[in-house]
Amino acid sequence: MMKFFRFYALVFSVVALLAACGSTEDFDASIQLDVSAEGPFFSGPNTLQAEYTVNLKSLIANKEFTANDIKEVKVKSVTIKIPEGDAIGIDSFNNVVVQLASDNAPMTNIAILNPINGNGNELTLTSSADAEIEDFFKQEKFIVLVDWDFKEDSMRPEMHSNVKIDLVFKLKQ
Amino acid sequence: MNRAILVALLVAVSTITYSFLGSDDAKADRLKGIWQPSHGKAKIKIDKIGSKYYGKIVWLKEPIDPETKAPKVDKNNPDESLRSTPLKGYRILKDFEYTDEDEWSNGTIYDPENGSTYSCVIKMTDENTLDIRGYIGIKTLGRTDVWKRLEMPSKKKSE
Repeated sequence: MMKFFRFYALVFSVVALLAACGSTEDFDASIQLDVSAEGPFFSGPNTLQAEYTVNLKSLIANKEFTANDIKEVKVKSVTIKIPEGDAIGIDSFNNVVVQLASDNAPMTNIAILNPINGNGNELTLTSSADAEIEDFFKQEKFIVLVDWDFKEDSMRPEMHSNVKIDLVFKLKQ
Repeated sequence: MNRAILVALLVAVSTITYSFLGSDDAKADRLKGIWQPSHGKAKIKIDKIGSKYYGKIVWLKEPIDPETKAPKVDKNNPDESLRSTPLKGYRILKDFEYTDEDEWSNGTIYDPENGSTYSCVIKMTDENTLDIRGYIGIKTLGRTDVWKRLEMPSKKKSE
């Protein structure tokens, strides 16, 4: 009888342990940064970029976690805004692509909008459904690249854009 | 006094040796420029981002898709949500590091014609020629293409 009880206790413990190891919880987070490049800009794709310093402590409100707790990070949405007052508008571009690059993770396309229709100074892109970008958050920094495809040459000395990337972090519990 | 002369001599020798051999960065940066694959259907510009090298399509011989009559897009991308990515500007070479004399590796090459990504190693056989070897798994089971530089290195331009 005792043997029987021990066996089921052991099975229950293993199942409970496995369940605890595999359980995760989703958290929303977002990063925002200004990308820039010096001109002139020739017709075709021109890259604006900026380095993002990873600070896990400030990414999710009221949730402390470490890189080891990250199981998965997916892209929810990407929005790009051209600063107010800039003479250039989104109708100056054919399309836009956003990528992440770093020393320790393979470059990843995270969002695209092609073609760009309409005007104004803000765009919401189509996010990659498959991009897995957790490795970027397991290092100190990474680079955000925005490729604006200019319709025409532009002799402006520089260009800036603000990028907001909404993310879903899957954290181990 | 003798010590000062010795230090000055050491600095001079190091400077001469360094400039003679060239820094690793300068050697690695020789990959930058515009290159043409042997099929001649595209031109690829290789640039450095962070500490790695990436190559993007800057010219296509046939930029318009005959089916859609619109600029070609990455219609074979395994990620359906990214299939509208334009081919012009697409980074087909990614994440290359200067790992050995005249060699850049640890990167990948993407073939937009079938949507496949291959491991890749780049060997510079001379200043204007690259052997681009794409492979799956082991290097011996791969295919090499020869790319030619379309733009002379900036150092040579000034000569």
